[in-house]
Amino acid sequence: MNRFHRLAALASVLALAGSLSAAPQTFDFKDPKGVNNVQFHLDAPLESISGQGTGISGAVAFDPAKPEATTGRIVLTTGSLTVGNPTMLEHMQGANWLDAAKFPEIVFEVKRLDQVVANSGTVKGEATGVLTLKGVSKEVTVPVTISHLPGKLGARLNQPDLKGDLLVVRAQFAINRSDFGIQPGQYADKVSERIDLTLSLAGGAAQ
Amino acid sequence: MRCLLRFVCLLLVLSTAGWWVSAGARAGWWQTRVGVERTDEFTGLSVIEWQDRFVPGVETPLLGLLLGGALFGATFLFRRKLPIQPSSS
Repeated sequence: MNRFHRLAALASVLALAGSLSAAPQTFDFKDPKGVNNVQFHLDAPLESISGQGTGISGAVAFDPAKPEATTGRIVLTTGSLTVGNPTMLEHMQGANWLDAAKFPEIVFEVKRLDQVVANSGTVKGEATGVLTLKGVSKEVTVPVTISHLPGKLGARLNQPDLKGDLLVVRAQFAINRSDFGIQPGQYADKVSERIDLTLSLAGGAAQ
Repeated sequence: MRCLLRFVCLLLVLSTAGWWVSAGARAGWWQTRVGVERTDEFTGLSVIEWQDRFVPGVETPLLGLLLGGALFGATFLFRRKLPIQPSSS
């Protein structure tokens, strides 16, 4: 009986260890190095507008053994979006365009990863989730490339004692501003309908 | 006086256009900040860092043309000095 108990305890420990190793890690996307950004580009007949937002936070649950189960939430503060022209910046943040005062966050809620192709630490796939911009939520599918770098968190942050993994996410996609109620059908000659977005994100999971 | 003002007009138009072209002939509006790309060596991710710098936009040559044109128009307000005709009486 005593032997049976010991075997049962061992089995439980092994099962727990197995479940722990299979559990997804949660990566924090608040980047201490301030590199995480979303770049946007609008190409209208009269003017091209380019800018960037760096106020990124959020978390992504990623399991290298099961990348298709990736979920998460990436938040960009609307107020961090910036362009080179101060008047344009004022208009962009104003009530007629993004209305940063009323809608301070742009959120992408990742629900799943499809069409997954994994190759030596790099996962390519299509992330499907809900993008909320200016209070309008819409399901979007975004092609993403995810690089999982085990044990590299400390090296990136120049803190060798810090143990943990790093997750680098890159994505490029486009949205239509009218889908999110941003001056639909207005000023198309100056502000393009299509907004090209490039996401460059790095998240860390400390151990 | 007229000749001097017209020369200033030409100088104004040419200098503003020249400044705009030498700064890259930007088709957009004036910029007071310029984005310079920085790459994170570890991840290869790029981020734009903004530097305070003035870049003339398309308003610059237009403004030069407008001011130059207005000044050129003003030169017609100056009456040309006519040579004094000797009196026939």
